[in-house]
Amino acid sequence: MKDSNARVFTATVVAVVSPQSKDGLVATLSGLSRAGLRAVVISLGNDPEPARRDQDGAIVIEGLVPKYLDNAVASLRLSSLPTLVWWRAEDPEMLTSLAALVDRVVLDVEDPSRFWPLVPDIAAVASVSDVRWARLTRLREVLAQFFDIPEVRASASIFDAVRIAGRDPFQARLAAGWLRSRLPAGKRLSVRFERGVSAPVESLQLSGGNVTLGIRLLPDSRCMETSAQIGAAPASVRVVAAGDPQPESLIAEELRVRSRDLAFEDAVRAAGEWSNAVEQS
Amino acid sequence: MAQNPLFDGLRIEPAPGPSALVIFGASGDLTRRKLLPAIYQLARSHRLPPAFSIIGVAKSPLDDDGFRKQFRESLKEFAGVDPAGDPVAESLAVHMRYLSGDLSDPALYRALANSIEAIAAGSGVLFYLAIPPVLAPEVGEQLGRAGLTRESNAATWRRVVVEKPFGTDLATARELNRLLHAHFDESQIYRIDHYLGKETVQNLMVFRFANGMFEPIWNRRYIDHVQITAAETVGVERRARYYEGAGALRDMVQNHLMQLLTLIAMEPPVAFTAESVRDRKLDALMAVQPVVVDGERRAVVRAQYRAGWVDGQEVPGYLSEPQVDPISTTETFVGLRLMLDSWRWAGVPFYLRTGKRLPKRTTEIAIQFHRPPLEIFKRVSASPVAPNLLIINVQPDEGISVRFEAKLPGTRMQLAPVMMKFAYGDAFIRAVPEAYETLLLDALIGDSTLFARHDFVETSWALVSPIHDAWRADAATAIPSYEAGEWGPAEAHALVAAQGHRWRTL
Repeated sequence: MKDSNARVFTATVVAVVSPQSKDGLVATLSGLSRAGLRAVVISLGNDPEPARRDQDGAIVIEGLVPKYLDNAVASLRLSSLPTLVWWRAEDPEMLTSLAALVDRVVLDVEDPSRFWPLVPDIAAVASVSDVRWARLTRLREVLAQFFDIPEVRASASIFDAVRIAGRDPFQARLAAGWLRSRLPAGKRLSVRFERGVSAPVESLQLSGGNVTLGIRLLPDSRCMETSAQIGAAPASVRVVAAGDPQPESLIAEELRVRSRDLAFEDAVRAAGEWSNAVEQS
Repeated sequence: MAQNPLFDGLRIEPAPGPSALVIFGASGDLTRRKLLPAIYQLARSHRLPPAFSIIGVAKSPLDDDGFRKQFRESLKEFAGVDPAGDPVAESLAVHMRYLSGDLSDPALYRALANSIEAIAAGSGVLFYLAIPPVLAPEVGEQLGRAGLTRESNAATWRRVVVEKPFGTDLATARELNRLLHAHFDESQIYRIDHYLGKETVQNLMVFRFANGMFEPIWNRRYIDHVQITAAETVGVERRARYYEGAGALRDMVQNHLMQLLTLIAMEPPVAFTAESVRDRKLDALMAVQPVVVDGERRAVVRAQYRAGWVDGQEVPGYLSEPQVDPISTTETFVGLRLMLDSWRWAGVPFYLRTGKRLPKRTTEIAIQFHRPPLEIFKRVSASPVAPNLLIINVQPDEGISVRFEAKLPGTRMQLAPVMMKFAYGDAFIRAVPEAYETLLLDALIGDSTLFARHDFVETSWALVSPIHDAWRADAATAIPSYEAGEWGPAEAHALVAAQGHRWRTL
């Protein structure tokens, strides 16, 4: 029996995963599939002809041999509408060739060291980003808003130190890479990373001359405290919303982006150039 | 000064710089129901700058804490948010101030200047006049005299939001504009029409100008006529006093329906900029022929609802509503046939109707296309071919539908109309923002695309005022009526039938 409800599709989201991380993803993508997306979950394995089944609105294929990944995606994507690949498999095999078939690739792997060097190749054929970058969006917005203050903007070239604390050194590298690639004197920015436990990035402090800008995630992770210290004046402290870190929200945001993300590509490049010099404490 | 180095490549929508919102009428209904919830939602969705303050101004004897309490209550009641322990709500509340006083007292404005200097020095300031229209000129005058409308640099912009109605006729609209222009440049004035903040209304421009397939057929060669309906099931509710002086023509047609009409009829703007869009809308409005009120070529009808049934409830007639004059001739329904003097629309009627106590709450634009020039299926299919329809649902179910003919399954060639529907609610993950969120943010950013310009307002009044004047002069004649729960009076049906058309049954 056919589904009697008329559906409006806007895009295909294909999650490529390692077998063990499939179940949580199906639940996440089911939420997206209710909002106009065709959700596909493909776990990689050794099966050349795995069964296809529908689970909670998502199409699930388990154990597919990687070399058939391109074919599977080509046959499942909605024609004429964008396709986003959410890459969660630890092996980058097939990623570059798959990128040529889709519109956007979002990396979401534990250790991106082997993936970030591939970014220029992927960017040549599709838009590319990293879920860590999406998680940084809110922090970047807030930090950028500091630069609307004339005194801060005027001091943009004097910032020379950034201190980042958090659980995820890769996310910290990406944040610092972004600052190094965007600030006028970014190349001489010294970076200090402090290992944290509660969130990928818990705080960031950017300083130079008599200006110190700070962002700190509050304990419940729903809000951030921002502070701007300019000269001898008392620090201006505000609390702002921290953004939704749930995977479905991050992927939904990524789906809104159609163009190439040069800021991300620059940040990854900058992160690679100086990562060895990062001081850790 | 150089560009913000960190915004480069940041994929966020434009956000206002450091700013303060000054709400006149801070203890009123609009503030509690719409403005404060909208501000909270904007903060929640990261659209406000960290340096954002709110100053409430009103006659009511509140203090800062009282205003904060009202803010929290408003969130609870109208935004469905429990502000207790909500850090975003608390962060906004910390930066809220309240000034109590007489809006005509210069001392109030001196105190306001001091408050702005204390909590928002160097910021832009948006003055929101959430007050009865009659008070707007006085507040504008006092702001000007106090030097609060002066902009010393780009960051310290000053803007004012004025709520409708913008006058009650052409003369009062001109006078209001003259008074506002005495202290504000037109670029500082934001006349708000909440219809323009609705997602589907904004989508109209995207639909028309971001798609190549519609514009070639968007003209008299292909379109037979256009129907714009804004129907309400409610009566006058608590607005009887205002409504008695306004009526459907001035409450709905002069602003909302004229805005919708111009969005359908406008030529493509050269760019999506405020002035370009508003120029083209004005062109369309200026092309509307004056409306004939009487005689054989009559192009407008009015009516008043009688007692009847709506949504399964028995409802009183307009004349029995509280605070309504028992011999009132105020219209609760208006139907119009408008013709435009333009190459694109010559000969295409635009039918507009709006009313209270109609069977269904809906606002839609229906564009009916010509039938095919040759009916080749006439001999094989019993049913006549229905003309194609493009329907834009503005509210409540925002979306776009197309009606076209399809073959009925079977061995015989039989035709039937089918609908293809796009519904906002089904297609997108993001929640549709409230109109006030969109418009408030636009005013803070300085984007006036969705606000009415003075010449649009005056041109609209120039079309509507003669109709109202004629009706007022004819007060002795009984106004037609329709039963509550019906789609208007028989005269409205005759208005479109005269051109061989009929209103859509919604």
